[in-house]
Amino acid sequence: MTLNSISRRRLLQTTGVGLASLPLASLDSVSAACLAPKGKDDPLPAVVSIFLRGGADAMNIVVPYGTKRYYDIRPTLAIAPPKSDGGALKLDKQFGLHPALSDLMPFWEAEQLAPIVCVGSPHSTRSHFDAQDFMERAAPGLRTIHDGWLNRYLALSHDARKPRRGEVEKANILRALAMQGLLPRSLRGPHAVLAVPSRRVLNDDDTLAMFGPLYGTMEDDGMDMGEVSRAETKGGIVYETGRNTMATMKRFRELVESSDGPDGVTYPGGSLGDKLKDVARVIRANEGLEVAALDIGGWDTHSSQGGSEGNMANRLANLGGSLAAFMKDLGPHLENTTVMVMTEFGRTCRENGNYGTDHGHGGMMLVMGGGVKGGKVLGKWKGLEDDALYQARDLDVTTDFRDVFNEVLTKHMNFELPRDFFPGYKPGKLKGLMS
Amino acid sequence: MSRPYLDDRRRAHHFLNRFSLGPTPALLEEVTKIGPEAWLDKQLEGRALPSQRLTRKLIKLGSYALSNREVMTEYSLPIPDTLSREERSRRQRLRYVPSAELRDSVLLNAVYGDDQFKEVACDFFRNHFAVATDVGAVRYYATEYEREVIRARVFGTFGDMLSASAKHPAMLTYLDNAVSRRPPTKAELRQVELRVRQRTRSREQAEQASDIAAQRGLNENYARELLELHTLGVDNYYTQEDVESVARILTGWTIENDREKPLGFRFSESMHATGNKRVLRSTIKANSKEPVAEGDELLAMLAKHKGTSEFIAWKLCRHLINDNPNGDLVERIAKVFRKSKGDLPEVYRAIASDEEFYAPQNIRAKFKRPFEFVVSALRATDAEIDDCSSIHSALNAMNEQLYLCKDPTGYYDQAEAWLDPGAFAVRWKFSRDLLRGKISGVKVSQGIYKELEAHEPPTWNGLLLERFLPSGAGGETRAALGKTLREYIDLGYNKHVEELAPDLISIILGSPDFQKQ
Repeated sequence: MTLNSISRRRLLQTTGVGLASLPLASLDSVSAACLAPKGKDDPLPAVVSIFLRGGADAMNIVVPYGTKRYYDIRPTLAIAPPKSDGGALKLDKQFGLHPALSDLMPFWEAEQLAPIVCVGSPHSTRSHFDAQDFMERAAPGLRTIHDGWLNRYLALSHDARKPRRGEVEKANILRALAMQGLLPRSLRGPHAVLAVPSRRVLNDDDTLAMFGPLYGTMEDDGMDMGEVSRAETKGGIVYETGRNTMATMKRFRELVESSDGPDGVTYPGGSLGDKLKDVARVIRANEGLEVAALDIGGWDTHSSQGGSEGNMANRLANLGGSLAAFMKDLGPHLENTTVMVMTEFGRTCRENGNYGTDHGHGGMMLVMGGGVKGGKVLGKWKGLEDDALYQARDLDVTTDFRDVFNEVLTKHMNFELPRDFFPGYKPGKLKGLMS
Repeated sequence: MSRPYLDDRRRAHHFLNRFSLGPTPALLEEVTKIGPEAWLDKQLEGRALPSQRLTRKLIKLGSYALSNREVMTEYSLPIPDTLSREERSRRQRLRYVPSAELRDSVLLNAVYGDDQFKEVACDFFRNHFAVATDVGAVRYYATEYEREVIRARVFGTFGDMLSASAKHPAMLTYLDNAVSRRPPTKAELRQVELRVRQRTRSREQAEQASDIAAQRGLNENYARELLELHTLGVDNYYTQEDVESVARILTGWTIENDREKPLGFRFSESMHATGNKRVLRSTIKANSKEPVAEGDELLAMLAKHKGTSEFIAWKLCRHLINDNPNGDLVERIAKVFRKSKGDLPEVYRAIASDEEFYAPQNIRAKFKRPFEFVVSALRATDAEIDDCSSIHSALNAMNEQLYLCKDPTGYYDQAEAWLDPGAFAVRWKFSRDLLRGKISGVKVSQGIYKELEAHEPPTWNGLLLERFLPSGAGGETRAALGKTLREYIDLGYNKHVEELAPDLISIILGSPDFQKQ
């Protein structure tokens, strides 16, 4: 059976969001596809996608201390070479990690962290929302694609995913989570995904009890996100979204409450740590979570960016500390989990007149997890001479971000990409990111 | 003309779902009686004075009527280290007052304004020409911007509002046009180099300074959004070269820095890029006598551009009719836009009287944005607002804080952007909290309880549905109400209206039916 004939119809029946304006353009272009079956007893692989919004300054995260010109063009912002005061944490002869990311170094040493330099989009935009849209939909320059790449994965792999032994349908209910009030664009699309509301809302039993009868409860019918038997009522898609909300929130609470973590893991303060702590619990429950995503803002450092200390360093310290705690917290599940940290673009190589940097082109990614062949810096580095730079000002893109997405989906998620999953994309040279 | 499926009352209800921020029983009565067209005509004339109830609330907002300069003088006091800690923190807090009061004023006008269609139009254009108060000094300028660019002009022409927004310090700051200038000449760069070299005696540093200076110059931020978001629509009729030309034409459009003058628009000739500019397949000639007129010519050209008429018509239809308005409809409205030279009231009238407006598929086809949901709930319950802050927190939890949209796109208008599982639960909580008096500073009217008391409890659901959802409710909603009512009666709460009715009303406000308009 072709994907076209099953999935499209299935998607239209799905309880999912956005049916009124269902963006199926991308699915129409998909012809036949083979979807890799999964072994029924394998623990499910999961991907955690963290988006640094605003265009994080790649060169001060993965620091090219080995390139002398770095220090010439960043007189006040540059991170000193390893072993000096406030210096970068040495990765290899060329690169070091920002010192505020020291909590990640044990994972580097365990070869579970792969930084990728000069990764980005082939599209030239320096607009935040275009660049974010293009990256989260994995469709640079294509404004007709509206579904996020992670949602596309969920929707297209749904049919192939067979329940494991002893698994009831309801386990399917929480395949994906966004740890914020609204979905990031990567998770928007036909497959329904829970946008986890704040604790105040999530834990308000009175409200859930009040609306339980109206929006049904899981105990009533054990529904599956993909197969809603109940006819649409006048409420239609709105009503079904309400039902999903009720069911998935309850399921989320069950999973969070039911799982205990390894002892001795402390997260740093702040909402990122709190959110990752919940994600870790849901993953450890091993009930079918495949995708989690969250956004962190505040990376648009046009002024007072700081160097080894300061504004951006503080954010990085929280990011590194939270991620390190999360990966420890996962325990053995780190083997099946891949964490991706990405941003829409990097920033200008030269610092500007306000001790900051402006919108640039090539960026970076950090990929972490048990299945990552880490311990080496990936991506081609062309240096910082003007003729090596994009428009003589920004890092050039030497790795298409879709190369990374492609590796993670095919190798880690065992998903055989249908043709045109990434419209117009030709796989690049990035190899050996995932084992 | 056949609209047998809608009686006058339902027709009025559908109309008010779009042309007001929420029907109330009185408003529904009025429109049912005089008809939507007559009501809209009255609205478009505008009224002289806001109601007493609204005035009493607005008058407490000290910055509401102030100009940019007055806001700066009163709320942006210097904070030198010599001041006491208390005074420093007082002045720090003071800086956030104008934008907080602005949010209050928008909410209060929306809930209590009698010119309800004006509130709808303001809501639309506030998002169309979005600025955010967390960017630079916009927090001081947005008060005047809302009052003089948005509110004062939604019943004027589109071109007039476009021009007012382009010249207002809020927009000039928000999209950086105030700092956009022609790139430095080689001579100027040499000067920079020389100066730094003299100061530092380092050739390297001097070259760097000149490098950095060379990058300073044209800022395309506003130019791009002007074409993409304000007039033509994304990638519509324009190219990247046009963006650069537009940026060049608008160099020198900046903010007055003379403290003796009003804090408004200023044209800086030294920042302006001279020469003819080729834009949108025509040429804007260098105007050496009055270079600011180049920008005016550009804006006038954009305001009457076919692409603009199509884009604005499409967006207004999307706002007032459905998320995916069909091409014929959009073309009909765009024609009216062009023919009337962008006269907005003509365009609104054309949409309200278009045959599509009452088509069956468009009845309750729109999913309320959080702002629309919250305002319509407050209006439906005739809530008394003494303090807006909890309502703003609720809007924050729903990701639609007023004047704080992260992107210059403004808040999205389509269901797709808001209808996420999980986001819904915040609305349930708001519905319950509102009726339980748990939203501090807000009380719903007791009038409805009095009305109910005169009737037997088994009839209450019918009465409430008639009041809150006169266009009908789905089977699930009615079943849930019935179940709740029966349980309460079984528990012996018979006739304790204050115990029972709030829960029934909460369920209605949180129902799928009330999320739509």
